[in-house]
Parts: sequence; structure tokens; C-alpha cells
Amino acid sequence: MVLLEAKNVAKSYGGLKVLTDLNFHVNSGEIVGVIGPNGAGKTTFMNLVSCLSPITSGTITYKGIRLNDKKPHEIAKLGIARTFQVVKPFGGLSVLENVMVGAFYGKRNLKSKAEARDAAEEAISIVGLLDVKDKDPRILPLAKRKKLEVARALAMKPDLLLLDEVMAGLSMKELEDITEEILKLKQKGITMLVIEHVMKAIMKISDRILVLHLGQKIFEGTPKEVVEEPAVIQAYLGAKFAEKGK
Amino acid sequence: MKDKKIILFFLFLAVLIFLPYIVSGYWLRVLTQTFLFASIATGSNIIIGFTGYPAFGNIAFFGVGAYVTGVMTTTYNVPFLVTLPFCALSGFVLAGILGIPILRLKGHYFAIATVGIMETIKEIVDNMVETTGGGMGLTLPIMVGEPEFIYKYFYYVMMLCMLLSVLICYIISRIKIGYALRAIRVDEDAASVMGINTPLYKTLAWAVSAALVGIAGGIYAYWLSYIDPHTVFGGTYPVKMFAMILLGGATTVTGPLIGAFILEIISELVWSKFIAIHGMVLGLLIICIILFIPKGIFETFKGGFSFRKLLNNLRENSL
Ligand SMILES: Nc1ncnc2c1ncn2[C@@H]1O[C@H](COP(=O)(O)OP(=O)(O)OP(=O)(O)O)[C@@H](O)[C@H]1O
Ligand SMILES: [Mg+2]
Repeated sequence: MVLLEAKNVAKSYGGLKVLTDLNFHVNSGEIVGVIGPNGAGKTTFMNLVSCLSPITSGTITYKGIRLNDKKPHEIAKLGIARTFQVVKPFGGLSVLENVMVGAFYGKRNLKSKAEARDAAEEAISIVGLLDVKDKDPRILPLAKRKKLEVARALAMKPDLLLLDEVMAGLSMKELEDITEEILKLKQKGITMLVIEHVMKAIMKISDRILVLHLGQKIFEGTPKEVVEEPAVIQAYLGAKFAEKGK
Repeated sequence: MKDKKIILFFLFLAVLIFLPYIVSGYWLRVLTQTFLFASIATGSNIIIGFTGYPAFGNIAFFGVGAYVTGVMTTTYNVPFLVTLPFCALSGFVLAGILGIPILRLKGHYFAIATVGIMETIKEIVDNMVETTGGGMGLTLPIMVGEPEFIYKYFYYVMMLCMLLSVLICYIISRIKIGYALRAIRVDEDAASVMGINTPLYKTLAWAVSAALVGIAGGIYAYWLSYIDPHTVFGGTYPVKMFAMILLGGATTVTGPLIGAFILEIISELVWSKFIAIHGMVLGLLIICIILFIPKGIFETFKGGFSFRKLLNNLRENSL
């Protein structure tokens, strides 16, 4: 079943065309990876899905609902949660309270503090931040603030989770952990759209990968197809990677 | 820690309740004035500190409240206490309506827009000569009774107003909506994608804040029994209110109240002896607060007092 679908989506900022004629979809239960060079338009697409900025033309639908003219909070209530590439922790609130916001206002819309706290602790334990749950996120290292982004999104109990470069700056061990967790979330039925530069991880978790370059889809296919595609190698991966991949 | 704070607050409250039986009329007036500022600062802090929208002109609703009570008691002979819910209601509705367009602005732009609102309402009141008396001001019916009784009466009414503001702030900080406001304060994009209807919550926060400030205005009008547009819409109120909020700590429930007590009592003890330079000293003090302790005395001196912290703040601010 198609969960998210983009039809002829375009986005410009003034005269700058950032996305052109993008068509693709995400099926329920899938993990779709999104890769591409810097400035390809990956984050921009995510912003369109979460309605943080308006679509210039084309349509995005989710569960058959047109998202174009929705507000960001309505998107959240529909069951879409996201992280930010440039992390946006709520300073002044503890890690736990940050995640409670997600539990309070996400799809579950919990009312009581006790329920929200339980839900938040569950999400925090998934990403492994229990030891810092009472800390102010501003004092945490970037890798942990990225995990906080994921925890906040998870506390919203989304059906579709959009992850924007949550693995940047993680150690090998942490990378392994987070890929495990992502696969576990998939088992739980969460559909994911994952923007990532860490090729090893994206290859492992993705069912399909979408490759963007200069605002256009240059390829779409299984991880194996992607690394063998000459256009992708040329635009993004580089010849060195192609050799290593063999 | 939390229990200690609550015990301290109730101790403070007990002292305030018994104070009128110990101190003189002069000090009762000073304290009533302090409660007034504490009410304004605490009420305004819902939009300013909790939500992060610097509503510099929030005093507009103080003036509205004052004139609601003024006009209702003079023209329509409504009993004073009955007017207070109307003060709250007018603040709530007015901020609720104005908030929809104005709360799209942020930071300085929002602050300036609220000042614009304050000036506009002042002009309107100034020009509605038949109902408000215009620039001549409005004289309210004077409460009858022994001076001692009247002092105590306003002392307790203003204290209740302050306590109502503190109570509402406390409740907001504890329940679900408090989380939304604090999230909005830090990052509205992040708050909205997490499911918070940011325009709605901002407007609600401003409306509640305006309602509380409106009640304070109503009590003020009846207390002084004379109001005019130039004192109730502006004057030194906005600056003092901001200084009190910053001094005590904008992100806390009781910070603005503590700030109000410190500033008003100091003002009364020291500067009233130097009337001529009163305004100048106040100005200097406010500049110092903003430069050295913009996060409030409690946040700044958590681990004890030190000059280094003051200098660090100065350095960070000037960046
Ligand atoms: N608000 C904006 N106004 C103008 N241009 C923008 C805006 N946001 C993004 N852009 C431009 O759109 C293009 C795509 O940006 P986007 O952030 O989507 O890239 P990305 O694929 O996520 O890259 P990265 O891998 O670096 O995160 C860039 O050229 C960027 O400069
Ligand atoms: Mg990006």
C-alpha cells in the first residue's frame, strides 16, 4: 500500500529551483533511503512533507490525504514525525521534558503528565539516553542531541518517520546500534524515509533508495542497484566508492 | 528543593496576610503598589517569559482594565468588584483578536507592534471624551470608610490579584500547555512539527496574560480613584515591568514577583530620599540588570555570587 506519494513536486525559492518534477512514493512498512550530494534538495523535500514551507507545484499525499495546504501541527497529528538535520532541542527543558512534548502533542495526544512521562521514557530508552534524561540538552554533545531528535519523534508514535542525517558524527559502535534500532522500529511497523550520507548504514537498512541530484531524481532502486548505477557513481558516490563496492 | 520553595512561598504569604496589623498606612500603600507591579509582571510573564514574546506594550491591557472599571463604576454605577471580571474579559478578548495578526511577528518586531497597540488604544481613549473624559482623566467614585479600612481593603484585593496571577502561572507551568509554551519559546518550527498548534497557543497565552493585567488595571483605577490615559497606557510601567521580569528570571513562576518586590522596596527605601534623581537611578539599574543578569538573579547565581559570572554575562550579551 502506498503511504506517501509525491507527484510532480517542485519547489523554488524565488528564482532558485531547488526541486523539479519529483515523482516517487513510499510504501507502508518500507524504509526508503534518500541520498545525494549537498544541496540536492533532500532536506527541502522533508520540509515540504512536514509543511514547514509551501510546495511550489505538484502534490504530496499521505494515506490518500493531500498535504499541500496543511499546517505542520496537522501533519504531526496525521502520524508523521521528523527530525531536524540542524538539531533543534528545546533548551531550558530537560531531555525528558523535550521528549514529553512529543508524547503530549504527537499523534497520541496524551493528556496526563504521568502518561507522557512513561511514553517519553520508553522513547528515551530506545535511543539510549536514559542516563542523561534530566540534563539540559544544550550541554550534550551533538551525537546525543541527534538521538534526542529521534526520541522526540518516536514519542509521537508516528506511522511515518522522517530522519534527516541522524547518523552524522556517530562512532562505529553507535552506528551499529542505531541501525539495529531502526530495523527494530521497522519490525514494529513504522515506515521510514531516511536521508543519510553514511552509505554503509543506508545500504543496510533501506529497501529502496532514492537518489537526488540538483533537485531531480536521478535514480531509484534497491541498494545494490544504486551502487552499481553509473549515473549515481558519477554524481554522488565517486569512482573510489565504486571500486570499493566491488 | 521543590517542597522547600513551596513552604517558603506559604511562609511569605502568611507574613503578607498579617502585615497590615503591624505596619503603618504608608507601608501598606507601598506594599499595595508592589503587589500591583508583581501582578503586572507575573501576568505579562506568561507571554513574555513562558512563550518568549516580548510584549513590551502589554500595559495596554492594564489601561483597558482601568478604563473598564472607570467607565462602569462612574457611568453605569456598577459595584467595583463586579467590574473586575469585565476587565479580565476585555483583556482576554482584545489580546485574542489582536494576537491573530500580531503574533506572526517575532522578537523586536512583535515588541514594537505591542507598543503600537498601546499607543493606539491610548489615542482612542484620549479621544472618546464623552465616555472616558479624554485627556482630562476620569474620576472614579471614592470608596467610603475609615482610611485604615480602605488601606487594608486595597492591600488585600491587590494581594489576591497577585496571588491569582501566580496561581495561574503555576498551573500553566505544570500542565500540558506549559510544555507547549516553553517549546514555542525555544523553537517554533520544532514545536509545530511536534504537533503544537503554535498560533493557537501563543494567542491563548497572550489572552490569559492580558486578562490578568486587565484585572490589575481595574483595581488600580478604583484604588487611586483617578485615571488618565497618559499614566495608565505607558509611563514607566513597561520598562519597570520588564526590569522586574528580567531581574527575577523570566522563565520562572515566581521570578517576576520577586523582581517586583526587590525593585519596588529598594525604590521606596533608597530613592524616595532622592526624588530628583529617582528616574536616573532606575534607568541605570535597569541597564545593569540587562547587561549583567539578563537571566535573573537566581539562574545567574545558582552556585553562589561571583563577579566573574557578571562579566561572563556581559561578554555573552555583547556578542
Ligand atoms: N530557505 C531557503 N531559501 C533559499 N534557498 C534555500 C532555502 N533552503 C534551502 N535552500 C537551497 O536549496 C538547496 C537544497 O537545500 P537542501 O537543504 O534541501 O539540501 P540537502 O540535499 O538537504 O543538502 P545537505 O546534504 O547539505 O543537507 C540548496 O541550494 C539550498 O541553498
Ligand atoms: Mg539536508
